[in-house]
Amino acid sequence: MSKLEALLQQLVEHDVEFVVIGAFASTMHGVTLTTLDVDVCCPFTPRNLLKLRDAIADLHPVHRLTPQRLPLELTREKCRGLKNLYLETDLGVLDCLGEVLGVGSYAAVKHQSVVLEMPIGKCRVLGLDALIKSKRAMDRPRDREAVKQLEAIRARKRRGRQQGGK
Amino acid sequence: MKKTRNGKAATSRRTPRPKRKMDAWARAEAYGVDMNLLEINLRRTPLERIRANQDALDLIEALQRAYKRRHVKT
Repeated sequence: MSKLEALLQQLVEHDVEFVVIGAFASTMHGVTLTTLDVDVCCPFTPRNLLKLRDAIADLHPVHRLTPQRLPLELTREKCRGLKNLYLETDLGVLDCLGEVLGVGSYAAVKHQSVVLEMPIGKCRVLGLDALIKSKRAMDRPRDREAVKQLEAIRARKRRGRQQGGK
Repeated sequence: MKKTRNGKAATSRRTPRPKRKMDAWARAEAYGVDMNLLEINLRRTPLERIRANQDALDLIEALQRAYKRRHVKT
């Protein structure tokens, strides 16, 4: 099992509520660009964040964007006011966002996600249309290439469905 | 086909030829995406794509380690 897959499995096994977004979601849909991290959108409720804390507790998570690389020490009180978490763990980088640019809040993200049945369990992934919207909103050079690939994948799927429906 | 006096094909000024709209696949190809690589990846399951991504990362890491070792020796 790959490291990033194992990282996802930790979240699934601990019943963390999340949707895979960003480049990792693009990879799952078929984009050929390599990515180093897993991005997820999740509800930033104390309940969910404490589940997340427990899920990755043995992976030595640290806040990767703080100069001191402080360890993740979440309590119910500390959860309040958090909007994003940028973490580095023994299995790789995990970025947790409360909302997605171009798509919206977690509720909107979840609404536009698809459930993939994987050996590690059921995993929600941002759908193609919403992923294209979010990549367009980000509009970095790598996003522009991802958009081209995602649009081609969507066109191929639509054509496949039309041919299958005949 | 209508021809002008010099024998070249006459072109109509009134009705310009409509541009053919490229589909998303052609647009990606024109952008420079390796469509064969994309085809290969689309034949994989999502899990296989995650593993292929990890394989690529592992290879890059191994190459970077080898480069550093070589750099230290010279």
